[in-house]
Amino acid sequence: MAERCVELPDECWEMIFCLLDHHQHLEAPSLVCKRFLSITNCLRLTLTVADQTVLVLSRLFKRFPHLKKIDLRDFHGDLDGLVHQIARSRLNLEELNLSNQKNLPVQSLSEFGSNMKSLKVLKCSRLCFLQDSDLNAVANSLPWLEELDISYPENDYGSMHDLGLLMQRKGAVTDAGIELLSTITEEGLAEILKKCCKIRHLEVNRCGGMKKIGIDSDFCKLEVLRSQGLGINDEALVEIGKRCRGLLHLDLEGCSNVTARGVKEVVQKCRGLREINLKYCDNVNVDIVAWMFAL
Amino acid sequence: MSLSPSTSKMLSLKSSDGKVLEVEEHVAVLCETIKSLVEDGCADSPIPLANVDGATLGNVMEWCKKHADQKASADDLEDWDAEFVERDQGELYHLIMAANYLNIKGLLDLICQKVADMIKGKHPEKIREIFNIENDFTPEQQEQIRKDNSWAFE
Repeated sequence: MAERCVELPDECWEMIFCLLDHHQHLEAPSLVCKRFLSITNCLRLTLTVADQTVLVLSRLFKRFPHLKKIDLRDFHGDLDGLVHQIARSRLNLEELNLSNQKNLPVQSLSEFGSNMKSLKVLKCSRLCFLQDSDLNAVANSLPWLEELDISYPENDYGSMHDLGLLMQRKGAVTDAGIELLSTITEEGLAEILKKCCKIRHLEVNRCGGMKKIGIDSDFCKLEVLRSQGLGINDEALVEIGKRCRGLLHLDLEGCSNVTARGVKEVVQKCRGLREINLKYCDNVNVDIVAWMFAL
Repeated sequence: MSLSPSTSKMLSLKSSDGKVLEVEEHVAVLCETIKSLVEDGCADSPIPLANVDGATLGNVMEWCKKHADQKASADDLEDWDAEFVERDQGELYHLIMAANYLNIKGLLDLICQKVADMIKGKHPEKIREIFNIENDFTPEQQEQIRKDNSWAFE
């Protein structure tokens, strides 16, 4: 019979704690003893910042030195200040989620560019305002991004006060300015495609700006493209087929501007394609499936 | 490399406390550490296993024998494993360290999962009690961690 006083090495406790499927289960072990606290702290990879979390944030950053993902979806305070603080935290973050926020904190994101080159994934879907100048800022600050999600921009200007502020910033004070502010154009997306040459995964669901997209060099790293909605058409698919030969997953749900011509072009050219979603593509006949199998 | 039972020869394994165990080769090679020795042709003499005591080695080989048995069904193995892990905490620790040293992934996962299940959903006091761990926090430290936890573990 084995004696009772044997000690497990840290690496074994690590394996055990990793099997506690959610980090919530690490809360009790963290209070058991100093050794468990330090092992569990090192295993913590994600942090969701709610409004109250900010008060203890600098302590949490020190406590969890291996954080990889920070989620700010539920944060309602000073976003720019918070992102500044994260950028200066000396963590090696890989993913930042800014979805559901009002707009992109472009100032502080540029600080990420100089301080935290580990960031690979930027998620900013359902932003209230998103415009080309934001995409330019992302492309300039974070050219090493591998995954970008700018899906479902809401174009929700909230109060007139917000709109006024935004127009001031943009220098557009006419009615036409609203239209100008509300969309992402080919220009903004082209900037991303030009500067962020490591992008493997791009989500632009319900964004405009894919129609006349000109990609001026080969973009073989792109593996996943999600572009649901009316923002894409046959011409863009021809362009994608020509430039993005490494594509594995293509999501075209609800793309009524796409016909069999564009789909065939992209399927013929991207020979590695494993998955294509054509749900609600009203102008693509079901015959296309038989055609794909015959290839 | 696959070794079928019919061609299997015997290997002798020597534990840290000097006990020698004769085990069929196709059973012993479930330990990756022993498998590489066999493949490199270094498994002739009794193989010394300095980090595993005799009792633990016996338990480990019992598990390997069951899992090397090609007639055992998946359900059968699952039931057998569930019974195998019903041990006291000291024996579980020894099995984890042996499985880690001998590099037997299946056994390591099994025992670690058992220990994880013993922790899951328990209060810190209960965990200390089960694993015989001393609380080395001051009350102030504990309070601070508790407070931070309320923001960190949403």
